[in-house]
Amino acid sequence: MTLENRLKEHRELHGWSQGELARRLGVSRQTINAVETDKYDPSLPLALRMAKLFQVTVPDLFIDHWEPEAE
Amino acid sequence: MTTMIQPNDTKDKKSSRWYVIAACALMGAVIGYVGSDLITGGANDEKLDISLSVIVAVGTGMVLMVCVMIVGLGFGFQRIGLTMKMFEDPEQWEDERSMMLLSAIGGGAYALALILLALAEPIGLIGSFSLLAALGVLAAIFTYASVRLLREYDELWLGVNSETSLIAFYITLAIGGVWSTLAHLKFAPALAPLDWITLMTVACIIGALIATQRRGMLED
Repeated sequence: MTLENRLKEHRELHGWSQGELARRLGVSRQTINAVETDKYDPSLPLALRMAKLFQVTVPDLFIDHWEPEAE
Repeated sequence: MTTMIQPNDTKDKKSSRWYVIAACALMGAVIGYVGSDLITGGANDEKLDISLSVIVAVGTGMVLMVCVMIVGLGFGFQRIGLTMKMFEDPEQWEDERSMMLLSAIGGGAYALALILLALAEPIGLIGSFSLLAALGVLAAIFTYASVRLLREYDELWLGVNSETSLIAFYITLAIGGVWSTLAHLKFAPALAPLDWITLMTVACIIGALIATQRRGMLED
């Protein structure tokens, strides 16, 4: 199941193109595109790097609607 | 063998690049059929009796060859690539050029090897010893390109690579396994060695298409 994310919002807030963000993160442009279009969940290290770059937390970037079952 | 077309910036566009792949496959199939017919017809005065295995192998090799040639042209020459919308801008062309060219070189070497192998003895167009030497060179080119590619892959491409391998394995297992079971029970003729190589190649192509499509990399 793919997570929702706010990568595109944050990227556009900084005025970066997908290529610019990809270069800053050291990944391909396809990776950024696939994450933004909810086709791919990044690895934990990449998610942490994204959060660090935008100076937010990982849950600010990636939204998981899963909730633990009530006991 | 992930020689794919690049996606655009928005998710609103719904059109797909499947038509490009379908056109490549159709062109390859036609060229493969006509090519094998010409080659075998021209080799001797009388037409050779070509088995279905050879036709399918040559056709598969041609499909792959046409695909990698288009990718190679697109990423070798910026204007052609932009015209064919393989990438969005010159910046992306610059970023991904080496990876796509390596992919085209590796895929081309593999496709050529498959075609040469299919046309080798016992059909008699190419001698086994000469072919073995040629295959050795092509295998070296393929291995070099693949190793260089692996070094350039980021996590998305590594994921595509892993999923392609996994899908290809299960396709080979399903088709080859069922066919061999039927052959063992004498319900069908056994697959020839060339058929196994073709099957693995086709399985890899299908696997690559599925793995890239799942990540939105075939959408315009």
